[in-house]
Amino acid sequence: MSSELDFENVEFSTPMMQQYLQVKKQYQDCIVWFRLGDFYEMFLDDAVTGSRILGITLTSRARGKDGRIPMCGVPYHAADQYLSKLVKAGHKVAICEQVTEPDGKNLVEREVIRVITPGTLLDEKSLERKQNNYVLCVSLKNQIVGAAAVDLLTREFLAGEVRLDADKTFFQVLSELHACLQPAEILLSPSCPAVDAFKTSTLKEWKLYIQFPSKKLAQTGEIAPTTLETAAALISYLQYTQKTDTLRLQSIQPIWQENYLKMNRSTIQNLELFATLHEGHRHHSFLQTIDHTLTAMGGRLLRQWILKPLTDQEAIEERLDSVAFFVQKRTAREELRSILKEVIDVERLLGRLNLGISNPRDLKNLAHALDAMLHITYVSKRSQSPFLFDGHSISIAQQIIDLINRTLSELPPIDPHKGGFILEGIDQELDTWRHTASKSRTWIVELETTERKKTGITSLKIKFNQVFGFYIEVSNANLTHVPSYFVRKQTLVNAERFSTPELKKHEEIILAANAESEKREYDLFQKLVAHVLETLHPLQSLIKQAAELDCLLNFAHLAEYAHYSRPTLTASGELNIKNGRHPVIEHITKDQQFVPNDVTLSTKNPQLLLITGPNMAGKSVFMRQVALITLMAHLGSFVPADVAQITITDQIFVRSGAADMITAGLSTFMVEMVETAHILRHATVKSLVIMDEIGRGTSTYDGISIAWAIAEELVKERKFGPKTLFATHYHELQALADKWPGKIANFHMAIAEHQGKPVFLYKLREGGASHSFGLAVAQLAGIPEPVIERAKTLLKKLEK
Amino acid sequence: MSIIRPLSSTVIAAIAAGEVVERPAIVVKELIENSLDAGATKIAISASLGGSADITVSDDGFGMDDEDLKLSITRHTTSKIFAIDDLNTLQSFGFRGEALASIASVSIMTIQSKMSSAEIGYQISVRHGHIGEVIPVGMPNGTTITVEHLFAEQPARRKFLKSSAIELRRIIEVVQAAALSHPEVSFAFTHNQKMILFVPKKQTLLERAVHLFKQSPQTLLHVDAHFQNLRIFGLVGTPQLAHQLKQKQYLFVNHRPVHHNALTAVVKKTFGALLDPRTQPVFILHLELLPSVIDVNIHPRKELVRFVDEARILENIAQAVDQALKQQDLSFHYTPSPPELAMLHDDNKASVPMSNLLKSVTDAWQVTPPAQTEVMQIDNTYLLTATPPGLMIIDQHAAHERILYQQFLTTFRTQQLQQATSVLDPAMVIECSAIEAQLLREHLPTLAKIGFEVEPFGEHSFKISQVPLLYVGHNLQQLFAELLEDFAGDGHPVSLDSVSQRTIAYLACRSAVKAGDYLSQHQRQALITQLATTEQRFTCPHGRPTTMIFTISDLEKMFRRR
Repeated sequence: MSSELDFENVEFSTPMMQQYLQVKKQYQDCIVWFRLGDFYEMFLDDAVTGSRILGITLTSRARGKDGRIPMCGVPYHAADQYLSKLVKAGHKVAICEQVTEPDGKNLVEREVIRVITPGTLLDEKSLERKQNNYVLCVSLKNQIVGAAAVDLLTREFLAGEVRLDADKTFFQVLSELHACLQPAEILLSPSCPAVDAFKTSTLKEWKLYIQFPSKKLAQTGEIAPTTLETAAALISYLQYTQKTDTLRLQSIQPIWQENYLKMNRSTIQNLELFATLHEGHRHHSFLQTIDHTLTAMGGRLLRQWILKPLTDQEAIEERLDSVAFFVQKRTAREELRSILKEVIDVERLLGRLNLGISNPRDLKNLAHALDAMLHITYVSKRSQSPFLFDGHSISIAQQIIDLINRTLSELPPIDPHKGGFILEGIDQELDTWRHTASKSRTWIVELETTERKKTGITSLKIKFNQVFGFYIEVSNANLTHVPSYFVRKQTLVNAERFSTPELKKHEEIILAANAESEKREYDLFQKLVAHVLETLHPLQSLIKQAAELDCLLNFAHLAEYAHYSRPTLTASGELNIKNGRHPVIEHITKDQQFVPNDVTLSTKNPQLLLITGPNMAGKSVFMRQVALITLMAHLGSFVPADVAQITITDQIFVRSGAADMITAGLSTFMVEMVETAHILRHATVKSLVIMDEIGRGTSTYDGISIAWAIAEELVKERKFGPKTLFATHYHELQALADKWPGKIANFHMAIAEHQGKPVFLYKLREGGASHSFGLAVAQLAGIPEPVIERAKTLLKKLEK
Repeated sequence: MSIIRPLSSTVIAAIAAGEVVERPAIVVKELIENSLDAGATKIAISASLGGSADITVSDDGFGMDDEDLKLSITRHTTSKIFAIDDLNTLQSFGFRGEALASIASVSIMTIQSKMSSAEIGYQISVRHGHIGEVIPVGMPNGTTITVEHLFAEQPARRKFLKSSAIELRRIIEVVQAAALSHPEVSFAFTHNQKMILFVPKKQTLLERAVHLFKQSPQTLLHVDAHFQNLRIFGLVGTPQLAHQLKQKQYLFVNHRPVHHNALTAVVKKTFGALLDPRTQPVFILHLELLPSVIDVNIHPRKELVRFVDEARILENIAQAVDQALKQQDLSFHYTPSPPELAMLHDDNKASVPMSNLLKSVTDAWQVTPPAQTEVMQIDNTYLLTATPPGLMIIDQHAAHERILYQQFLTTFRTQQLQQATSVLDPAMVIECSAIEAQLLREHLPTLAKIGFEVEPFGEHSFKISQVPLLYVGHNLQQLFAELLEDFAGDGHPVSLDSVSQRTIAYLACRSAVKAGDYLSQHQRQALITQLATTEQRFTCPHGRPTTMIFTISDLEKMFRRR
C-alpha cells in the first residue's frame, strides 16, 4: 500500500483525525493505538499492518469529500494479547489514551501514555516465566564497547564496558552478551557497526538521550565514561517509553562478571546450558534438567547463578552447607517447597506496582505472598535452618501485610476505578460519602412503605436497575390508585414505572455520592501503592532471598532424586572424579543405563588427557560431563558422582565444531582457529579446557600439525598449563604421550567387538585407541554394504 | 491311533510358570528380591499398562558374568552368589531359583548384567522359552531385567489379569513392602513414564514409614525386643492411626515379606480395647531368627510361613508389642488435618482429642446416662457426667447448636413445603464490597428458592424484601455478612443445600447457649437428654465435636493400671 504519510500536506476534516495526525507525527516509527471509547483503533498504514498481523477485519472511516480512511481496532478488554502479538512481530506500539472525560462538547484530550516495545512488554502472560526480559543497549567509542541492560519488571540494571582487541571484535562482544542475556530488544548507538545476525535498532537520538540521565547517574558513584553514556542512553529510552522520569531501577551491577568462573559464548552453547545444540530448545538443556524451582523468581535466579559460578571457596562451602542441611532435613525441605509452590511472581508484581500498572487485587496478592515469607521464616526457625531471611525485611513485610489487610477488602476487584474495595473506617471522607448514599437508600426503602400506605397499593415496589435507576413499580391492576404526583417513567406489559421529585432528588444524591466515593477510593488506592513503594528496597531484598532459598532447596531436591553427592573443593589444582555422570544424558537414558566414568587431572601429571577413538563411543559426553560437574561444584550444588574433588577453576573452555556460526560468514575452520587462539591466549593454570576434535575443517596433514602444536602449547609451560581433555580422531597424536610422558596421557573409550560389529562400552580406558572403528560406525549408520567393502579395500591400501 | 500326544517341554514350562507367575506384581516382586539379594543400594522399577506391556527392574548390585547369565534363566535351584550375613543364609523359598526361568517362559525377557570386576557387561534375551545368545553390551555395574509382553502367548492367563489400574495398585503394594523391608535401599517406581513412588537411600525404618504413609512420626511407635534366638523390631501404629490407614500390616521374616494369620491376630489382641473393634492395627514388624526355626509352606505364592516353636514366638510378639504400647502416652492427641501440619507441632501433646475417632467410637456405644445423674459444669462451658462406658464430657455450645440446628432444619423444611415467607416492611438494604456484590448476584436465584427475595439496589447494594418465616426477628445484617464471607471463601456459586445449611447453621449458632453461660442442674440434664435423641449428635454443624468419651479402659491405660 502507500508509503509514509506526508505530514505537511495531508489534511483531515475532522478534529479527531487532526488530533490523530498530531500524535502520529510524533510516533512515526510506532503503530499508534488511538483510544476511541471501548476500542483502540489503528488508522491508515497502521491499520493495514495491524489487520494483517492480528487477523482482524480492516474497515474504514468516512473522510467526507476526500474518500475513506482505513482503520481497524481491538477491544480494550482484550488488548494485552493483541499487543504482544504486534510487539513479537517486531513492531513498537504507542498507546494513546483518552485522558479527560467526554463532556459531549469538546474533543476528548488524548495522550500517549506508554510505548510498548519487545523489551518493554509488561504483560506477564506474554513473558517467559523463568527468564528475564532485557533491553540491551550497546555503544562503541574509541575501541571501547559500552553495554547496559535493564529488565523493566524486575528492575535489574546491568552495565559495563570492555576494550576491543585482536581477538575480541565488536561482533564477538555482542554475541557474548546475546548468549548470556538473551535480550528481547537490542539498541545500538549510531557509531556501532551494522549487525546482521541479530535484530537490532539504532538510537538515532543518541546525543539527546545521554544528556540528562548522565548527570544523575554520575552522582550514584564511580562509573566509567562509556558505561555511563550507554546507561544514560538506555534510561532515556526507557523514560521515553514509560512516559515517566521515575523508573526506580535497582543499583547498577556489572554486566561482565569479574569474580566468577568465566565461560564464553562457545562454552555456554557447547555445554548446552540453556538450549540444545540440535534445535536450540530449552528442553533437555542443562538448565531445564536441573531446574525444579517452584517460583518464577527462583527460576530466573538459577539461570543467573549458572552464569555466575562462584570462585570463592568459602562462599561455595556456605551454599553447600545449606544444601547439605536440606538434603538431610527432608521434612523441612518438603514443607518449605510446598509453601514456595503457592508464591506467585511477586518480583514482577512489584515491578508493575512501580510502573503504575497495578490494581487492588495485585496488592492483596502481594500481601499473600509476603505472608508466605513469614510462614517460611517460622518453618525455617523451627527446623533450625542455616538460611534465614533478615529480620529487617521481615518486619517491613509484616507492616505491609497489616497495612494492606487493614485497608483492602478480603477479595478486591481488578478495576480500581469502580470502588468497592476500601474497608470502612479507613478514610473519613469516603465513609461520609458512603454513609450519605446509604442514608438515601434507606430513605427510598422507607418511601416504599410510606407510599404503600398512602396509595393503598400493597403490591407497590420500589426497584432499581442500571438503565433507569430507581423507580416505583405498580402493576396494571392497581393503576387507578396511582396518585398525581407519580411521574411516569416507563411502560411495561404488566406494569408501569414511576418516579417522584423527591425520589429523583435522592437518586441524584446517591449518584453523586457514588461518583465521589469511587474517585476517593481510587485516590486511596494510589496512596496505598505509593506507601508500599516506599518500602520497595526491603521488599525486593526479601524476594531475592526467597529466590535464593528456592534455588538451594532445588539443589537439595535434585541431589536426593538424582543421587548426587557433595563435592570437595580445594585449591590443589587437582580434579578427581569417581563414577561421574552427565546430569542431562543420565536423566534421558532409559533404565539407568548410563555408564559412569572416573577421571583424574592435575596441573602436573596428567595435565592433558588425549582421547582417541570413534565419535559414537562417548568421548564428547564424557568430556562435557567433566566440565558440567566442575561447573555444578562451583554453583554450590551436589554433583552426579560418587566422589568429586574439584579444584577452584577460573575459566571453562569448550571448543567443539558443533556450535559454529556458519551463517556469520566464517568457515568452520576459521571459527575454530579464532576460538582456539582465544583459548591459548586466555587459559591459565586454573582453567579447564575441553577440545573436541580440532583440525577437522582442513586437510589431514594441516590438521594433524596444527592439533599437535596446539596440544604441545597447552602443556609446554608448567605455570601456564590448564587441565585439558583433548579429543582427536588423529591417531598420530598419540605419540605426544611419548614426548611428554606423565604430562600427556593417552586414553580411549572402550569398544568391544561382537561378530564383527562394535559394541560401545562407554568406559574410559588408558591407552590410545588401537582400531579406527570408522568403518564399523559407518556400517552401523547404514552406509550400503558395497560402499563399506570398497572402503575396506582402500583402507588396506592406505595403511600400507 | 493315538490322539493323545505328550506336551513339549516348552509348553509344560509355560503351564507351570503360569501357575507360579500369576500377575505382573509377582514378576516385580521376584525381580526386586533378586536385586536385593544382589546387594543393591538403588532399585529402579518401571512399568507400562499395569505391567502387561513391559516391566523393567534395574539395580546397582553385584551383577552376573556371562555364565551366570545363562544359568539364571535355566531351571536352577541355587544362585552362585551367597549373602554373607548369618541370618540371611541361602533362603530358597522353593522356587526362588526358578523364578526367572518361569517368567522367561511366558514373556520376552532381556537381562543385562555387569559385575564391577568385569570389563564388559552381557545381555541375553529369551522369547517365550527360547533362549538367545549372550552378547556383550556397554552398561554400568548392576543388573537390568526387562519383561515384555507378559502372557502374550497365554491368552487364558491374560484373561485373568484385572484392569491396568488394579494391576498397578498391586505392583505399588509390592514395591512399598520391599521399601519397608529394606529402608536403606532407594526405590524409584515409574508407571507410564510418570513417577509414582520415590524413596531415597539410607533411611531409617521410621523415616521410610513416615514418607510412605504420609503420617507424622508420633503416630508410629518403636518396637525392639530381644529374645532367645529371636529379635523383633519395627513399628506399630497408634490406635488413631488405625482409623486413617487401612490394610497397612507388614510382616517380614529375615527381610522376606510373609503372611501369618495367627501373628496378626496376636498383635490385634495385644492392642485390646485401645483399638476401635472395627479397625485393624497398623504395624511393620521384622522378625530375625535362625532359618532352622522357619518352616516354609509348600504354596510359595501365598508366602505363608510357619514357625517351629510357634507358641513361644507368638508370646514374644505379644510382649514386644505390649512394651511398645506402654512406652507412650496414649491419650488421644489432637492432630489437625492435613497430617503434614501435625509436624508443625512437634511437642504438642495437648490432650484435646480427635473428633472423628471418637465419633465412630461412640456411635457404637451407649451414650445416654441414666436420668437423675449428677452433671458437673466446668468453666461454664463443659458438662461432665458419668455414663455406662465411663466418663462423658460435652461442649455445651456445640451440643446446643446441634440440637437447635436439627430443630430448625425440620421447621425449615416444613416451611419450605408451605412456602412460608414473611415480607419485610420496610425492606432492608445491605451494602457490600465489589466482589461480595458480584458473588451475591450469582447466588440470587438460589436464595430465591429458599425464600429470600433479594434484588440489586445500586452498584454494591441490595434490597431484601422477603425472608423465610424462620428468620423473622433475627439479625439479618449479620446473617448476610456471614453468608458473604462464606461465599467469598468458596469463590464460586454454591449449591442450594449448602446455602440453606449455612443460613440455618448461622441461626443455630446465634441462638444456642454460649461458652461461659451458667446452666442450672436441670438445664444441664435437659441438654444432655435432648442431645441423646438428636441426629448427628457428635458434631456441631461446623464439624467440631460435641462429646468426648473416656472408657474405663482408657482411664486404666492413662493411669497405667494396665
